[in-house]
Amino acid sequence: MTLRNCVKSAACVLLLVLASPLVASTEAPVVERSASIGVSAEVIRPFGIIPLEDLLTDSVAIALVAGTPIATDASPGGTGLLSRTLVLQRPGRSGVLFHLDVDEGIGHDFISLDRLLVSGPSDLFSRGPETAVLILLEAIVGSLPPGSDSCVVTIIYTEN
Amino acid sequence: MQKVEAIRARVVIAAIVLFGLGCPITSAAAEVQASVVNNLVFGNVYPGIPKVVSKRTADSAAEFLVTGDVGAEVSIDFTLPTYMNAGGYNMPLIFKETYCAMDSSATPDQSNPDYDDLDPWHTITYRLGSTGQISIWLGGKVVPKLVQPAGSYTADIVLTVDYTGL
Repeated sequence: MTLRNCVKSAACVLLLVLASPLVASTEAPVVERSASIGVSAEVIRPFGIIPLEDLLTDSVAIALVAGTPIATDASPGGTGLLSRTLVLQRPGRSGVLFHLDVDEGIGHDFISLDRLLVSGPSDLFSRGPETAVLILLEAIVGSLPPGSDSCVVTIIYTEN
Repeated sequence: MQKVEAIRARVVIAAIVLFGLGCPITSAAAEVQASVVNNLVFGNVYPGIPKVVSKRTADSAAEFLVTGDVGAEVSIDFTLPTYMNAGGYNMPLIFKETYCAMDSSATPDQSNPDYDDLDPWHTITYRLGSTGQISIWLGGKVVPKLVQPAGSYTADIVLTVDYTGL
């Protein structure tokens, strides 16, 4: 073997060595076969939460009235009436504070806040501090099949 | 004779260089990858009032992007949390059997996906489309209790993908 051939062989080996890291580094690339995402929610506690049974007691300054009964309320002081058409009135006042057709929610998990606020009376917030405490009402009709005779209503109050 | 050896040496060098440069291109293209496009965001929720984020709601529903070989079938597995947490408090999290949807078309449509109402609790198989991609959307439902303490609740969803070899 001549000196020239030796030099050539050495050069080939050197190139192989130099080229090998390229191959090695790309055969094991950073590949993410899995991805993790975050789930977030901000729980906000309003001024108070008044379930239906409490709503129907004398201690709450709002009453449920009228409508076609679909369930009865047996809580102390309850009116025994839960209407398919939900109407909120202030005691001693004839004007309707809030009107909700519960039928609209049947078949859905619940009626959204936006929808309820939109469907509320336009002057909800202009009736003075006594009535303005009500800014949110959410009716949970959770998984009710059509014709079902029960539902859960939660009323949420917060300061205006 | 010397000319022949010189040409042979150059051919060997060229082959080595080409081999070194060519490998990363072919091996990288064969990998399947998952990446995050959007987190699942419920925003403000109120105690006692469940809230649903639809898989069709852009910017709120979870969205993943899977990339790989065009036309290859992949298996997709979710690891789903059942609670969100904040300072030691838990809040139930629900993923129903229809809360997942996918689209591998060239123009993925979250509002009308190709592959809809999928069960995220079981392995889902689907083929990468002509762009070598699959968009995956996932909705969820959070169920805060009436006495749910206020706070920022969080959880993690993990999605794992792999080729099925088909």
